[in-house]
Amino acid sequence: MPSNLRNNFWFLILSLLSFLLFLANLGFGSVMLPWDQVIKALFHSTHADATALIIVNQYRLPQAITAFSTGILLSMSGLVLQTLFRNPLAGPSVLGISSGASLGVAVVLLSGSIVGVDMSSLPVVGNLAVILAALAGALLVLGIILFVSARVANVITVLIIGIMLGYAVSAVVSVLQFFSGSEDLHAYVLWGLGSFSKATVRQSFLLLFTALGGMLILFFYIKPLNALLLGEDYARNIGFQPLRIQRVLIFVTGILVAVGTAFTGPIAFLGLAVPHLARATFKTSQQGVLLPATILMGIVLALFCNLAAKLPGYDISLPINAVTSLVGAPVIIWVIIRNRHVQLR
Amino acid sequence: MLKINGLTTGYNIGRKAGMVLQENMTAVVKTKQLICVLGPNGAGKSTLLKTLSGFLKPLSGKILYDDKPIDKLDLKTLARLVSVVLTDRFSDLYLTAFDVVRMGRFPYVSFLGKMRPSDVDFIHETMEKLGVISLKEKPFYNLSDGERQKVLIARALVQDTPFLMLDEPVAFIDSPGKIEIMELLTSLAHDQGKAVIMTTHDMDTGLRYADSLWLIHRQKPLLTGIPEDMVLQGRVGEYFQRPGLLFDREKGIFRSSRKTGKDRGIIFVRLMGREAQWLAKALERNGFTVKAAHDLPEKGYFAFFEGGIFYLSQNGCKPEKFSDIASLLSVLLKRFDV
Repeated sequence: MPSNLRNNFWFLILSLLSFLLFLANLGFGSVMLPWDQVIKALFHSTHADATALIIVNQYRLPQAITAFSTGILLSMSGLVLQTLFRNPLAGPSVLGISSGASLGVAVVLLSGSIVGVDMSSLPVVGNLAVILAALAGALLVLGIILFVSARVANVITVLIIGIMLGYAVSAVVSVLQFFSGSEDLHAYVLWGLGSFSKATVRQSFLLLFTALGGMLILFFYIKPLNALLLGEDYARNIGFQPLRIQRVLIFVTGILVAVGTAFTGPIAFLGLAVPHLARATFKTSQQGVLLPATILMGIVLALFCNLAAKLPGYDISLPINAVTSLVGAPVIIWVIIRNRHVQLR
Repeated sequence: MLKINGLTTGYNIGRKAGMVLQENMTAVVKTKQLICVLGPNGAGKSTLLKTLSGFLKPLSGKILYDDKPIDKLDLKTLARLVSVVLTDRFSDLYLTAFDVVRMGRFPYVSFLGKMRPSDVDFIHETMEKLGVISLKEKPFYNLSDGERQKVLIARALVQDTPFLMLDEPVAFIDSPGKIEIMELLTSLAHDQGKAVIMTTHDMDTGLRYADSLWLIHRQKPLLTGIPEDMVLQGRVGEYFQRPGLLFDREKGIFRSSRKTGKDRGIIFVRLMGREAQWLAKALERNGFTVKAAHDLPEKGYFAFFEGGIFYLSQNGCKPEKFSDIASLLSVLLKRFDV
């Protein structure tokens, strides 16, 4: 079948791109290293240069793994949420989970100037406190969403409540921002711009395992997700329990997004845009094709954005959110223009 | 066999008492039958269908599939008993007709959704039989209403269930398409031994095709029977009754009880052959009262059709010739309206 051939072609290209971009992420940075040094350092060869060892293994590798994992986490969550809510504009941010993470971080980073105890300034604890606060905030919002979704039968209601919750939480953050000092505010704004370089080696591997674990769980939900494409009644007619599937998947994607956001800050657009790119490239709605496609494209896009943000050869780097938005916004616009001929309902 | 015992349908709104649509319904559905659930808009036809399919919980009463209560059947078992064709639309841009049909096999395949060759063959055979195999790779949203309906029926058929439930399957379909789909449903019931239950608000469809008619109405009990008896006993008229409408038991249609146009008087027509029938219809529509007659009466107008020509004569005079009904009508109207 030609569509099968096309799919395999794209899978091959994307896998290759992922590999090359991963290597490029290790090879390029503000310091120019010769490639043989990069490879030697990566394999801890005895001939490796000491500086190269540190730069590659302590800085570039965890950053590349973080970008790789976040690409997986956010884009596959986006796909699942779009299918679940049957809404092309759903994404990891709509459930209010990243807003929840922001609230947690805002409390930690901004509380100093308000209460007088600055948790983030404590050494070692600082980074961890931010991560834990983000996780706590995200899980708090997820808990509320799950509590609500157990009580309303309509999944769209859950979506709307998630968006509203996001607004409410952001309002609290604004109040905190208003009363905090400029230094703390700067730290908070920096966190909000997102970064793949904050995670340590260990943390980056934790992210990777979360991503792989999430992938494994979601692969078992391909069939129910396909069934939900026809709506809840048809899904039920072919033997699925839509309400249960929705709750499980909101929980799973919620956890994935919460963990991702905790280590990288809120990353804009990846989760929203990548599933659309995958659909447009593979021209299918079959979740069995779209899930791996979205994962691969998420990896490619995240690694590409990270590379672009690093501005190889320059001393400075751009905030990752600026780059993902610059790539993501045109994708969304393109999707809307493409769909303008399609009339639904 | 499907038994419905004292079933009350409706919605539960929050914790408040529900909105009751239908109360205390009792009926039996046997296989090899096409059942039309007929009722005016808003009577609760779709709600009944969704309750029977297990999407909505009954407010009270029992639904028994082969003597097992529906709430005791797990979803997998129910999926092999009942398949549905609903009015929902799907919004996915890339969902093809084949994608839609293949979902019907989900109750039979592994949890990863991998189809066996026999499943794929069955899907192809079914799509071929319904004449939608050529639409296989087309996006579902791009299909016409008639094509969509057939694809959805194909989806239900590959689910291979003894019960098939359809919600308004011919509501937006043009007349030839309507006949095609109704013939298909009839054959599924009579030849393949399925129990086909469909809702419709279209009385003509119900009266013409149903083996059994279920009349439903918000304020009246469920009534079941064969369509002909229902018409003769005046039940159809009663259930669709609306002020200003009268049910014509001879023709099985409603007409206005008010005289909308002028009452133009009596025309005698020799009611033989289909041309004469259509002539009578045109005359009635224009406010004439048609009376059957065989030969020229001494007084009044007489019309008949013979050898490809329409004739009209007045008070027994020599008839005038007309090539079609329109020209006859215009002459007649001129004389009456002066």
